[in-house]
Amino acid sequence: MSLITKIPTTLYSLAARLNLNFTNQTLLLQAVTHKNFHENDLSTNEGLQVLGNHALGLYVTEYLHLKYPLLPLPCLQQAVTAYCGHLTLTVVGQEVGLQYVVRWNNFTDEELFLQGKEIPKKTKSVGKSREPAQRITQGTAISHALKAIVGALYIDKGPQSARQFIHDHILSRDVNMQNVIEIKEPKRELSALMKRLSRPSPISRLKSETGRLSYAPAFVVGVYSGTEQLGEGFGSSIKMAEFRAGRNALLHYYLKEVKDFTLPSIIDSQEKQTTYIPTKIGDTPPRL
Amino acid sequence: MYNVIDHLFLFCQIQKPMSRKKTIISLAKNGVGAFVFPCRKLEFTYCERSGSSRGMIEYLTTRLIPFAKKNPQIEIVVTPRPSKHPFVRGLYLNGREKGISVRNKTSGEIMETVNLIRDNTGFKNNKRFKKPVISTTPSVRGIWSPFNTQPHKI
Repeated sequence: MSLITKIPTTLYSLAARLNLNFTNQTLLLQAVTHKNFHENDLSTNEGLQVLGNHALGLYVTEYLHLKYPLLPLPCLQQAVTAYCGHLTLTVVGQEVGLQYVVRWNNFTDEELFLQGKEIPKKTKSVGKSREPAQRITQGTAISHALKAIVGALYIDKGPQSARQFIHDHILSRDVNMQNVIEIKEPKRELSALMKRLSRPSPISRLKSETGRLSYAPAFVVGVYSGTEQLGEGFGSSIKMAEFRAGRNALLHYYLKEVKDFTLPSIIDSQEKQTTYIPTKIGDTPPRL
Repeated sequence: MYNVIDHLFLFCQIQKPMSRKKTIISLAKNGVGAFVFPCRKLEFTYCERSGSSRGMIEYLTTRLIPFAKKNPQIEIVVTPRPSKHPFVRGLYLNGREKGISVRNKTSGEIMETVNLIRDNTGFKNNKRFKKPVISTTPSVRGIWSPFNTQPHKI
C-alpha cells in the first residue's frame, strides 16, 4: 500500500522563491526529505545530498581559485568552507525559508522506542552493521536539504543550472578574506616567500614615529624588498608595527584578486572549447 | 617555581583548555546574485457574517486569486474566524511578522494594505536608526588616519 504524499503549499512557494523549475515537483519533495524521516514512502535525499555536496565543492573551489590565484591551500580550503560549509549552508537555508519545509525526525530510535512509537525499518546499507542512531538537528536537515537541492538541479536541469544556482545564492554572499588567512610569523613567512620569488630579502624600516616616550606612542614601519615597499603597518611599539607591516605585505600578496576570468565549467560545447583561453595558473606557495 | 597546575599537567592527563577555532560564515547580500523575496506567507482571516468583513470577503472572492498567481513565492492561507474583525498578517524570512487589521475597509483599500505587507522586508521600521549606512565593504578611499598624512607646510 503506497500513500499518495500531498505536496505542501510551502514547497511550491519555496520553489518559486528559489526559481526552481523541476520537471517533477516530487523531486523537490525528495530533496527536502532527510533519510531519518519515517512517515514517507518516497526515497530520501541522501544520494542527492552527496552529489550536491561534490558539485558545491567543485564550483566554489573553481571560482575561488581563479579569483585568488595566490591564496595558499589551507586558506583556500578555509574559504571554501566559509562559502559552502555545513554551518554556512544552515544559515543560507534558514534565510531562504527551508526550516518550514524540511522533513526530518527529531528523535533518535531509542527515544522513539521509549515513547512507544514505531521504530522505522531501515533499508540495509551494503556491508555495514546497524549503527547507533544519532540525533539529527534541524540545522543538519537544512544544510543537507540545500545540498540535495543542488544535487537535484544537477540531475534534473544539468550542471550549468546547478552552477548558476550556486553563483546566485552561495557565491554572491560576502566573506571577509582577511579572516581566512591566519598569519602567526609574518617576518619568517615573508622572507621565505621572497626567497621563493627570487627577490631581495625583506628589510623593515621605521618610516615615522611619534610620542616614543609618552604613554601613547605611534610607530609606522614599512617592509621593503630592495626599494619596493611590500607592506606598511602601524602600532604602539616598533615590534607591533613591524608585525603588522609583515602581515599586510603577506595579505597584499596572497589576496591578489583577478577581476576578469572565464570559468572552465562554462565550456559545454565544441565552439566554446576552441575559443577558450585558460587563465594563468597561480603560484600557491606552501605555508611554513 | 613550583606550580600545582603545572604538576597536574605533567603528571596527570588533564587537557589544557583549547581556544575554540572560530568558524567563518558568509554574510547574505540579497539581490547581488539572486533576489530572495522576503515575504514568505500571508494569512487572511475574516468573518462570514459580520459587517466589518464585507470588503474583505469581496477582496477574497475577486482579487486574491490573481494576486496569488502573480506572487507564487508567497504561501497564502485563508481562515474563517467567526465574530472577529478581518486581519491580514504577513510572515517574513527574518522570523518576524506584521499584521494589519482591515476592518471596515473596501476591497481596493485592502489591496493596497496587502501590497504594503507584501513589499515589506519584515524588519522593524525604527525611525531612529543607529547607523545611516549599512555596508559590508569599507569606504572607497579608506578611513582617514594621521599616520598616512603629510604635515601641513606653508
